[in-house]
Amino acid sequence: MTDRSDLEQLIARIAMRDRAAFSALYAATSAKLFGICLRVLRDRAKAEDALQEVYVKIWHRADRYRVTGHSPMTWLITVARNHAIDRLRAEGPPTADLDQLAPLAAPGPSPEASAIAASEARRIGACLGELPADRADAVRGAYLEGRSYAELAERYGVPLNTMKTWLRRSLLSLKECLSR
Amino acid sequence: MTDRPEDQMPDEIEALAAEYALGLLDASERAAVEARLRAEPALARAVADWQARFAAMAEAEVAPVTPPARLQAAVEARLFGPAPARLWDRVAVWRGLSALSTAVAAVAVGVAILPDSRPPALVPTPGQVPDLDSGANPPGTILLTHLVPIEGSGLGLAATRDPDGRLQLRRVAGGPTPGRAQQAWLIPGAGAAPIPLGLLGDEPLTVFEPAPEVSALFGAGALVAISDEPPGGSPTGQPTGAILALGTLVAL
Repeated sequence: MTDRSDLEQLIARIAMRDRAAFSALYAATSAKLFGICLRVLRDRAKAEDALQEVYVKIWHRADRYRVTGHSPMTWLITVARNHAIDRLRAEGPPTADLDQLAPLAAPGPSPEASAIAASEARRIGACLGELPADRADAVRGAYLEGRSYAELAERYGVPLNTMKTWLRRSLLSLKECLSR
Repeated sequence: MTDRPEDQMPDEIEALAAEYALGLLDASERAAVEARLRAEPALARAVADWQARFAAMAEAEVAPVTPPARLQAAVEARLFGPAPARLWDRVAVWRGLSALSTAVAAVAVGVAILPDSRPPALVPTPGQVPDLDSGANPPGTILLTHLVPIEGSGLGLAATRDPDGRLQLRRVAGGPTPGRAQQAWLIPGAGAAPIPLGLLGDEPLTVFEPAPEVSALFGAGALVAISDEPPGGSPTGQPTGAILALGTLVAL
């Protein structure tokens, strides 16, 4: 498996328009990102289109990777997931763009923040497991299926505001568990 | 309680950041968060941390699926143009193409390929075997070839180099590529660097008048090629795009 510094180096070379680095990054990461596109879009042809567009974005935005302060996999997965969600909600407003986070880096990118998040990440499975199963599924539904509050409320048969309170509490519990 | 950021509880910022990262906010709520991101590092950091957590969740829980091999080629073609572009860099390939195009030229010449070619006298006598290895020819020699489509480009041309040095290229199949340029090159011999001759016009017939030093390099066995290039032609002075058509000159 390609490790973090390898991926960072590849992204840095892609920012300098290195096609060989792009091929290597594709080889190392496309299966993961394709899995995510498939999971979000649930349609092979759409996922194939989305994956192509994701890598076109990666090529064009590699020079902005560093300022996000993210680890390479966080950046790649977030680009893929947000793009797939945008395809899913073709009419809706686009999802949070990573570029919005540029100011995070400007005054000092807080590399420790992404390192902390990376170490928390290893425990995320266990922490999701501490939530009631349906609430953990609601978090997954929002991230990997692009469910809105209204859709989640319908799925779990609760009023919209209850759903919001529910999910917010679940997210805060998740955060609390991760930072333990 | 007001909505002013300094009055918001840390939990409120965390929950809002998570909702933003998940895409759960409606358009106006989302715009409000984005307006705050630049001014509020704590909120921006909370959003980044949630993005990292959710990405980690996806990395842990979503199984990788190898995409079909053609997708990589499709992505690279979208970004870099058609894949055969790289062939230009490889001398060995030129040698291979040269042999191929020699064979095709020999056949094409035998079959009389120029249905509407201007001087009709250029059509060779059937059965005549062109001398492909005669090297450089005196300026007065008539040279001709048929440029065959490469890699399914559909572009074919008839080429004649007149005794006065003028090179006439006439499209006999295919046409201009919208938004792209078709650039003509002379490759004086296998392994030699391509020399730019100029861009094909939109009309079927394009006439080039190469400088004397370039003209001197025309001879039997030299290659004429057309490449796909950005508008205005190759920015580097060497072919950057796919080979569209190729032919080996023979002496009449």
